[in-house]
Amino acid sequence: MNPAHETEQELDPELAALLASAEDELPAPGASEDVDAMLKGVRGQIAEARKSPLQRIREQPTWRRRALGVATLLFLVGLSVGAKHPNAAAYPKGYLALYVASIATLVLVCAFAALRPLHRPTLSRPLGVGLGLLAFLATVVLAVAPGFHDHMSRAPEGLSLFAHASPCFVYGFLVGVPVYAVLRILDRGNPLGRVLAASAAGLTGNLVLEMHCMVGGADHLLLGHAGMVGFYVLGVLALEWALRPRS
Amino acid sequence: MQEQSDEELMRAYVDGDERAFEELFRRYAPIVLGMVRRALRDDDLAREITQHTFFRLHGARADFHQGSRVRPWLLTIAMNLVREHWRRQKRRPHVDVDLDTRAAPTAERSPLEMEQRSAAVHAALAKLPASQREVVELHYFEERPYKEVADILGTSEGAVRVRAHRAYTTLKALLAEAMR
Repeated sequence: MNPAHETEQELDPELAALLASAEDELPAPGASEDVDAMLKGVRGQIAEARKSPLQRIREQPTWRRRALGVATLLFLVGLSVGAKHPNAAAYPKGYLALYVASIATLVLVCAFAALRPLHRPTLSRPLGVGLGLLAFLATVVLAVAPGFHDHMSRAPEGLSLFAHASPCFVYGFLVGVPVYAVLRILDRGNPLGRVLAASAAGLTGNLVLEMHCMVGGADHLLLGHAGMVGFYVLGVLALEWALRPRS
Repeated sequence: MQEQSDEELMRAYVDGDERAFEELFRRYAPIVLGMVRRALRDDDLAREITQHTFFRLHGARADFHQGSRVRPWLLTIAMNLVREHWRRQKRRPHVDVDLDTRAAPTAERSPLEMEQRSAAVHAALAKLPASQREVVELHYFEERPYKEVADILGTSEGAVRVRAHRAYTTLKALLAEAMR
């Protein structure tokens, strides 16, 4: 029983007595020999983890892990800007700023959520998955929204959709790989870490493609640019579903 | 010598004092174990999650700052692991227990009756939605105030009070049903 506990005053006495019967079943705190055995087990886990360089990176403070993640994103996007891709120069400035701000905000939210410290309550699964789907949806909407891609040229005549969209798909995917890898390396065990890292990776690839690729047309943008984000997000969700424990 | 507070021990551990970790473990492992055992009804799994909770505490120690408190940290980590287990498992074991409602007053109850009552409570707890069950676990069993329960679960104090009210009302109805 918890005689001094506020619950006792609020609860029906009969219910309080019943709940206490579940409490009484527990072994006396600290009396169990379990504690020594468990402590030995934890020390073994810690000793093992100390051998791993990855674990040492994960043990960095959260602000430093997040800074590393953001630095990776900035490096990749910076590479793209530094390469002076033609579309970035031709893009109407207002639309470019809106595109970059939308995607960059989503990337940062996903990356920060993926690196959320474990002493904070985990985000709910619907929220994490919803964030991934929002990332995909945002790129779909931006692909078909008027004004963003009017300055772009059409794909060459006679070239199939697959032929002109697949190089973009592969390029964006490859840009996302280091983002995914870095976020997973920095992740301390967030159950939503994979889907959030995949979302950030896909969005980064999409942002770089947006500055790099001059081919407009909704079909190209949906398959080659937004489709790649969907592949990341839905692919990870499908993989998690396929590998879920079955008991 | 005056006993060190949890926070002093944690800061000592962050600075590399291994004995401080052991002391924290001895203080909190039984509490975490009890909480997880009640939530999962599986001794081996409860031990595993308790160990993992402290392993994660070790991994997150660099985030421990002035003003942080050890107990909410540990309970949050443990509750996150329990939630993750619930999510993976989806279906939790269902226990049905017949209980004699005309049982004798507490002082006169036999161990068998006490065991039955305990099983009935666990069966009723298992029927609560996870969001309500974790509130009962932290508020009633761990004696945490509503404010701290809200911090641990990442929600508002008002939402916790509503969940607690619903949970206790449902528990009362379920237990009355079980004892009829």
